Amino acid sequence: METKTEKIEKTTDLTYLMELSDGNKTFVKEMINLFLSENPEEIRAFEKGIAEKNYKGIKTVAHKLRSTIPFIGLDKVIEKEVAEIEALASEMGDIKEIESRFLKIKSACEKAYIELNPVSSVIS
Amino acid sequence: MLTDRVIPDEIKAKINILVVEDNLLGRKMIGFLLKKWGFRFDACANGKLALENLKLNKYDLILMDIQMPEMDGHETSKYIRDKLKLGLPIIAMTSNATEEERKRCLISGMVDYIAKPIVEEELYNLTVNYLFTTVVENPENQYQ
Repeated sequence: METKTEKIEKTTDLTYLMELSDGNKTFVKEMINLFLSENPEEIRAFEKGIAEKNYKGIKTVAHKLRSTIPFIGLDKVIEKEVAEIEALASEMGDIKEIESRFLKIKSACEKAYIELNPVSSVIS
Repeated sequence: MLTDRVIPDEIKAKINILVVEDNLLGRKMIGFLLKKWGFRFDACANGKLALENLKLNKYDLILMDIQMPEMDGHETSKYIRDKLKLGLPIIAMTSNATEEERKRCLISGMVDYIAKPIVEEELYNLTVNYLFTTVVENPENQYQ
């Protein structure tokens, strides 16, 4: 009998890290752990920047995030939103526009935490 | 990794590179690659720290992030050229890989730039090109 399996869309993709490190699992784990410890801080800084309408702060965090997300493949999901926020913050654009994009980023990051935690479940 | 530039290990081990990158993951990744390729390196998180390193140590090349707190890549490169009078190659690493950004990097004193996310082969070839240009241009000198 044929069984149907539900395809779960993953937010993260470790191909870049695996290729870059020639499959070095210790390095990949270290990078994932760094992401898991650094990213929540970036999200909090984002929220603070939006609450205070601190465009310079928002731009800085967006730029930082733009460098971080490719390591776990999140760029394929939220790169557009991050780049748009960086541009909007540069021109001191509508904070609501920034916030709506941020919510998608936050949601993707939270999904990534679940997928990558515990790291041992991803890299054995 | 595809490259036609194979450098003997004993030569690579004498090379010292300074990595200036505020993003912890980025810094870790570049360090991993440089170690894998056999280069020595120091890493720091902003331009001010880079200048301190440059006053204490001799480097053959700098890999420089652009947007950093305290002192950004442009300001740091200008300082290295104008005040420290150092001529070592500085390669920019930037997420804004536009022609305008490339021009800004050159004006600031950097020799070239690489777009993020970093592709290993590109970074290796760029690094090796700037480190060993003299050897390649004068192949007869290699054996003198």
